[in-house]
Amino acid sequence: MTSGRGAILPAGPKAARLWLVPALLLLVGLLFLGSLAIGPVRLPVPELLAALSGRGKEAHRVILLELRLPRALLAVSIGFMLGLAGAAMQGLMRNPLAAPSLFGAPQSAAFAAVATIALGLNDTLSWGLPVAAILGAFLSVFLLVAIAGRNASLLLLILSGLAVSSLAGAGTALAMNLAANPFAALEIAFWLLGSLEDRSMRHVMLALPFILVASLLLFSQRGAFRALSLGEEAAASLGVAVGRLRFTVILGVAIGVGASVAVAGTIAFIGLVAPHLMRPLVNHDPARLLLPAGLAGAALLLAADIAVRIIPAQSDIKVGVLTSIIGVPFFLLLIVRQRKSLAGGMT
Amino acid sequence: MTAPLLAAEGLCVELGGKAILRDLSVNFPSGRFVALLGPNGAGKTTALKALAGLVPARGRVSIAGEALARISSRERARRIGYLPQGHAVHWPLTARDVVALGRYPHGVADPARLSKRDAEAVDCAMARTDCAHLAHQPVQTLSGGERARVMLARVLATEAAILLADEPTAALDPRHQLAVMDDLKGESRRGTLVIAVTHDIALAARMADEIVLLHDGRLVAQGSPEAVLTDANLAQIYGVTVARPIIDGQAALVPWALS
Repeated sequence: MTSGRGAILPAGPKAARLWLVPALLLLVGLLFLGSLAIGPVRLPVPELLAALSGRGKEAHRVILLELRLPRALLAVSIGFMLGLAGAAMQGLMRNPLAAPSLFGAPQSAAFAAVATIALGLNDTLSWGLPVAAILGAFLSVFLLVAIAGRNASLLLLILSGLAVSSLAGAGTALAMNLAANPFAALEIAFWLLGSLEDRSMRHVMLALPFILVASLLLFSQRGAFRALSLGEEAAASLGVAVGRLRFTVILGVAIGVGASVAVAGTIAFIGLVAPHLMRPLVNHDPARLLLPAGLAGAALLLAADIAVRIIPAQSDIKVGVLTSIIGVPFFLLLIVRQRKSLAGGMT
Repeated sequence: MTAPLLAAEGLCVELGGKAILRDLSVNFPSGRFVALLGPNGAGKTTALKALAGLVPARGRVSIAGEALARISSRERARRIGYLPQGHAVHWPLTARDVVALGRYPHGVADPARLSKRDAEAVDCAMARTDCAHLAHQPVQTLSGGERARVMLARVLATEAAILLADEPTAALDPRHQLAVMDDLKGESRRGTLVIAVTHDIALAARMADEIVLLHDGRLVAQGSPEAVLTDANLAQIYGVTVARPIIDGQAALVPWALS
């Protein structure tokens, strides 16, 4: 049990797991309160409680219930979804660099949504929008898995992801290009940047059911991710229906990412960063990773959405821009860390 | 008469329009150590996968008289342990977590919460393959030989009646080759049917109870090592001549020259 080499490992798996989820829940809770409190009008805790319980100033109540609460709820649910989707994709592809945003899923969801807006089929508040976005995301992830195939090498994945997201980007550009008036184009452009500002409870209701369904789908495959660590063949021999697993994960990721994009635009890199931060804390177990990755995603997006309110700027910084600015260097760091294995033509 | 533990009748596999396995009919009783031999491209791996129900195949595979196609994948996984080539593990899981995956067909969802029975199976498998001391190490840090033992423990932990191993000794040093073959043979002596694909005709000749020789997707011969690994068969199928020195009173088999 305690061989010389084994002893250099940090605390055992059980010790790590006990505090992790409660700690993350606490962090998410605190950031949620912070998200309600911080903004142009500061609402300290007593004011918050007063407004929540129906007392307090009318203006405060409006700010809290109609502006900040939907925003915080969206940050929690979308952050959770993106973190979870990233962990699930990485589990499916058995690769820490697999994230929906690297494979063009949000971009494709955005394209599908923008296309329906440009065609006049949807406005930004209709149920058709998440449906279109989900279809777009599904198509892109499906295309990716179809191209990359069973024994997806990283190179193949990244290249096909690049192709898919470029195509989606070109399609979006075309839609803006052909937009009826410059304001429409501008609206699309801002929507694409990814933001949680000025969202209402209606947006929450639009996204939440899809996010719930997607999360359930992905969680239902927990055990299979672990078996998949041994490769698809070994997983199949252990009784995992690999084809069904793949389809379920694609569906879950598409529904979750599509619904998120439909209400918040493209918010990238949460799905890459959150699982990566949590992985060492769950001993790299792809199944145990799911819940912490989701919670870390929620915390990250809440924090980023608070940060864009605090950072002084001429006009508001969009949260999607911020996650990319933080996420891309992080991605580069990941690549540098894995340089050795990547150069070795890793699978 | 009782049905053989594992039987195949008229097993055919085509991949991309090419016949890889043609009309294979074999059957095996329990408690036997079988080596599946044949030159590269003979269809050994495909035959093993078809027996495990992992590739679409025509024909019929049955376990103790029951058609494999009618058994659920979970149940099949409990009855047939399959050790693929290469020993890939894509995340730095600890050795014990990997071995615990062998209990997945028995409904183990979380390796950190094994029931007493499951923990027993895991510990027993690790003890048998002499890797208990590696339990808490990430498999990525293990040597090839250590990893091979961990993977073998993983498939033993399932406690399946049938164990199919694809080149379990590939890329191992002589000591580990012998250790793995010893473990497999020991497993067969406990009543498990063990079928191992291998290129090592010398080890197969020395340790296996039975040899199945494939060539071009067809069964060439099945029987005892002496009956199957004849000079004529080896010259015809492998294109080699062999030397047969006597070691410890036993005729060894050494591939010697091209024939």
